[in-house]
Amino acid sequence: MTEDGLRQALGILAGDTTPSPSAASEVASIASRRVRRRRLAVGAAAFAVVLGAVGLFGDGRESSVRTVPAGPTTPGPTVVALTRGGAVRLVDVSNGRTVRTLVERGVDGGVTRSPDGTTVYYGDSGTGCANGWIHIVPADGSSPPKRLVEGTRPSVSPDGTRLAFWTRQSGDTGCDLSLVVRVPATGAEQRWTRPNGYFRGGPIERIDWSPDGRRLLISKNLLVLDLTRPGPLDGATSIPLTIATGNGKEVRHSPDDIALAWRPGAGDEGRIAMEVSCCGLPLDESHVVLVDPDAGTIDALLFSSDSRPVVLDFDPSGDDVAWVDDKGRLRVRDTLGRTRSLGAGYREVAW
Amino acid sequence: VRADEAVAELFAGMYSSLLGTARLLLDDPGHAEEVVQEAFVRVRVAWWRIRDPERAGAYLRATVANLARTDVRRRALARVREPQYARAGGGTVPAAEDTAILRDEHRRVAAALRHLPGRQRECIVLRYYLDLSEAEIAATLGVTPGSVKTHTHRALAALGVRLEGLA
Repeated sequence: MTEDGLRQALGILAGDTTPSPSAASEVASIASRRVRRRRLAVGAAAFAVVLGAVGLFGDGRESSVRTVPAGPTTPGPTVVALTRGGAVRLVDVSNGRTVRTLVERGVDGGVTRSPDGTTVYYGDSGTGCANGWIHIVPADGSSPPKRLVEGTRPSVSPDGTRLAFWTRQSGDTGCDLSLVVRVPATGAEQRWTRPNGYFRGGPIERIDWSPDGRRLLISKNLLVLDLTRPGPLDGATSIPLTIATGNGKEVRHSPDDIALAWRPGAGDEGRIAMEVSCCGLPLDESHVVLVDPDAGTIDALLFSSDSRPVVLDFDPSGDDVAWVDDKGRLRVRDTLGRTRSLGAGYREVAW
Repeated sequence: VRADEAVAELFAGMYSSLLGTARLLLDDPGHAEEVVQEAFVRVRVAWWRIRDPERAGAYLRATVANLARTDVRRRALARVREPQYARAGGGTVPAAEDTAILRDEHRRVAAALRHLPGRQRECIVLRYYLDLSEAEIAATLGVTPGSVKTHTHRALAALGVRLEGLA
């Protein structure tokens, strides 16, 4: 067979490629829904930020953490990243440059951003049974950080109206750990307490909202909390994630040190993205898969990487993902599947 | 509206060739339409980020190649791992080479193509189906032109062994 013969054979194997009459309109319809969903999230989050600006948010006291002055307008899409030294930076996803340093040092209790990107939340971890503080700071650096509430590991709901975080208090035999969901505009709270749940010096887990705002994903324990069904915060609500191996045996995946995040998807439910090293996948790479949050089964392989993600976060559309790997490198994978390295020395990232 | 019009224009001009490309890259050609549709949706949603609209076609090709690669890996994962998942993903459309109208020669090309490693298969399809240059293939796959040359050469050699006589 000649090269021309190969061309001809490929043309025949490709088959009839005439688009169906509705194909173009289906593309327009799906794209329009995704764009609308993204705009809705941004608008609602802006509402929450306005509440903050008129004083319904925070106790108004200035944070003791030093910041740098306001800089020029953000040139492009950014992520908010926490460095190993405790600095909070806005990083340009197109080139990895620091657009603005919002906090120079001292942050160790997580970082996140409102869905519209205008407000950054960060936390201090506190010591022993004593809480640190959650702070807010405008992403444009136009005003200094303010203390918001006692707690750590803040996470803002997709509609921007609720804040989830952890608090600790002294219990009978140790520190009780509570997960709090607060509506800053009204002060209303829901609270789930795990008695004696905090081990001195142990890590406090990240919290991530489901795209529909009805459930919380608690990292490392692979725990999903249904906010519509209050109950104890214990292992009873963890996802029974089991993975079948090639020889027919099933293994329960170890919940330790895995990167987890809720990925917005085509439906409101979304999927949980988690890093796995199992299931017959090549061991020289790390793999992030999508898990059905109800069935606990793996739906798809999202991407593979030459290093192991330890923190993952998706943009509101679910198309772009940012992660920090086990070597402290910050990376972004965009909607076209291109991965960019944005530098090293990072601990966490949020879109 | 401008973005909608631009994507509609791309759709009219590129859908057919991308659908053929996806069919040749996927292990299960029945998923090709989904892959191409998803590629157009992603490019439309991310239109504001495409700084040079002239390159939107290249972005589309890259997205189709990436989505096809992910689909092939996902299916490999499902085959290894979870039988019920593989069943749930059913609805498989018979591959083109299984239809009676194909000549033996074409069936052999299809089988040989399926045996190629992913990157080699991509290079062959982009080179001989889409008629892209080495530079264009390199841009689509995110590799160097030298790497494209190597993959294409190895793929042709492997196809030659299987098909006997291909230079």
